Amino acid sequence: MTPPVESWPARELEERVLGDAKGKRRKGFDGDLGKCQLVELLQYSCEVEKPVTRESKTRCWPVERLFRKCLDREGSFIAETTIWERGEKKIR
Amino acid sequence: MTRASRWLRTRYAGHPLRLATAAAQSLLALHVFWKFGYSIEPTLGASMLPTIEVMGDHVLISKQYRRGRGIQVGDIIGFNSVYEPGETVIKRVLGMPGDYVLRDTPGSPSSAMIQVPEGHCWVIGDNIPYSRDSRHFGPLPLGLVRGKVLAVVFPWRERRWLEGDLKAVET
Repeated sequence: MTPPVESWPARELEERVLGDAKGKRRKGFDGDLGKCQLVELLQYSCEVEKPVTRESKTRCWPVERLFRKCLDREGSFIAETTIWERGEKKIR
Repeated sequence: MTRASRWLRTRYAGHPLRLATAAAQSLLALHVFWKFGYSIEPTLGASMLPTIEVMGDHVLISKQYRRGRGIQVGDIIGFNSVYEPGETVIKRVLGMPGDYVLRDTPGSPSSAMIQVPEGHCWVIGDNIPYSRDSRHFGPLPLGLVRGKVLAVVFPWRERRWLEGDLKAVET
C-alpha cells in the first residue's frame, strides 16, 4: 500500500526542498532553486477523433512542465517548478 | 537433408523423454528471458498519446530496470497495475524518491505539491486528461515496476526509440 503523503501549497517549495525523503535536512544544498539547472518536460492534452482507430486524427496541445535539477551531497534531486517559476524569478 | 535436420532427427526421433526435456528447457529459458531480459508487448489506450499510439503499437521493455533500478525522471516505465491485477500499465516517471512534483494536473486551480516518499515514484501519462495515474492512486511503489520502455518496435515502419524527454532550458 502507498503510504499517506503530506501535500502542501507550491509557495512552500523553497522551504520544503531543504528536507530529504527521510525527513532529514538535505546536506550540500544551499536552498537556492534559481541556481539549479532548469529542465523542461512536455506533456500533452490530446483529442482523438471518433471512431478511435490507428488512423484516427489526433490533435495535441503541449503542456509544459518545468523542473530544477539540483545537486546535493547524495547526488541530485529534481523539484517541479512549473508554478514556482511564475513567481518573482521569471525566466527571461 | 541438411546436417541440422539430420542431427535433430537422430537426437529426438523415438526419444520422447529427451524431446519433452528439451521442450521444457526451452520454455524455461524463454520465461527467464521474458522476465529478466526483454519483452515485446502490445499497448492499448490513449493515455500515452502522442508518444505511443492509441492502439496497435508494440513496445520493447527492458527488465534490467525492474523494481525501478536505474530509472530516472523522464523515463517511460511499464508497471503492474494497481487497479487490474496482472495488467501492465505504461506511464512516464515524473518523480523519484525525494523529488518534488505537483500533486494534481498542471494548470488546474490546485497548487498542491508532494515529496515522493522513499521506495516510490510518481507517474503520469503523457496525454494528461486521458490518464489514470499517480494523481489518482498516489505514489507508485518501485517494487511494481516491471521495466523501462525502450522503444516502439511494431509496426516496423514506425519503429522509434523512446528517449527520456527531460530537456535543458537555456536561462
